[in-house]
Amino acid sequence: MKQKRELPLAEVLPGMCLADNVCDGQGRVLVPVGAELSDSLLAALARRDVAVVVVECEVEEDPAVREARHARIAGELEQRFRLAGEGQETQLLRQTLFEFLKDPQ
Amino acid sequence: MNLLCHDQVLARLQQLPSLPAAVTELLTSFDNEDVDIGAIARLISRDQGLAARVLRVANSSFYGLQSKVASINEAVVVIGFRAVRSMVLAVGVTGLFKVEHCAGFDFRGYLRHGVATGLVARALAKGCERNPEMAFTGGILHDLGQLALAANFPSELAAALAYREQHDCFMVVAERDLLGIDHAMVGGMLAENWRFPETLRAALADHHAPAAATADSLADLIHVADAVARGLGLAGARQELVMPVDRTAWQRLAMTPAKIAAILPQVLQDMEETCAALA
Repeated sequence: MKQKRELPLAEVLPGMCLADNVCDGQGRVLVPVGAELSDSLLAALARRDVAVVVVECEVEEDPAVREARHARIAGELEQRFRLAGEGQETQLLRQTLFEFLKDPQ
Repeated sequence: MNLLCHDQVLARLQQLPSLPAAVTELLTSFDNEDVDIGAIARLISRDQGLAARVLRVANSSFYGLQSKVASINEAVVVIGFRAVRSMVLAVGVTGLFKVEHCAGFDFRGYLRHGVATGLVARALAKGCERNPEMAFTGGILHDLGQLALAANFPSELAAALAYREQHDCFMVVAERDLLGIDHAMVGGMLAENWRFPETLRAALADHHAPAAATADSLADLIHVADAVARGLGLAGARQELVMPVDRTAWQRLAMTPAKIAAILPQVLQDMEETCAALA
């Protein structure tokens, strides 16, 4: 899953995406959120003395956290489906909703 | 125990005011290719309550317009005839019922469940050869019978709500056990009384027993959308219960898990804005 991380400019790799705007001292946006950082863009930010930027990082989720979330979603669905029976279509719906809800998009 | 009888409910419903003229016109416009949008805009404009609501929504952050919309004509141009129609039908029909005297009736939960069902039905409609806008309206209005009961028989519906809590059963079962009539039957009577198009009437009357409706009605789609919406828990109500999904409805729609999975992100994305627009 994606997470915001504040990184010193020197540690940013080309191809990473900005998770926040990069602004100058007056609050003017130099590079907008979502922009993909290229070599030349990183060099330009260095020339502007930008020290840190906030980028999106792909992080490995803690398995325990993920398991706890899956158990919570399964419990909520169990509650809502408790009178719905074991019909094939009903169970297909329940499984589809579980697959969708268990991991945030 | 039968707290209500069919004839008594029917007699009360027949005394309800007729629908606003704009609503009646819009109901017939689904099947009408050359609808006179100008004439409908004039009808809406003449109904001050409706017109004010439409303008409020058109000027809400939902549409993020640069300048203020001042007339219904302008609203139709800017947000589109279909959006105005969905809004007027939802607001114009729902607004006829005052439910504050019914203890335990969760109007916010009612509205949110209607919107969720409408959004799911609209999104699924495209893959099931149903009219998406009619499906949206059908979803929003599908439990209208419950609203009518809450407004016209508040103590009886309050008793059914308490019975449901006590027995942990579906609302429709509590209504049948205690009142002798359920919200789908009441919805059907209302739809007949107000001459809703047949496919929309079936959405109200048959969404709990879709196999009884014809295959081309909205009952199948609203039945499945109702279950999806309940399963997602979007009403924010304390009790969201999914009812068994009817096999006939599922098969007639050629429904698949993949079709449902494909529409879920859009439904979640549109949910809050749509609720805010219609509240």
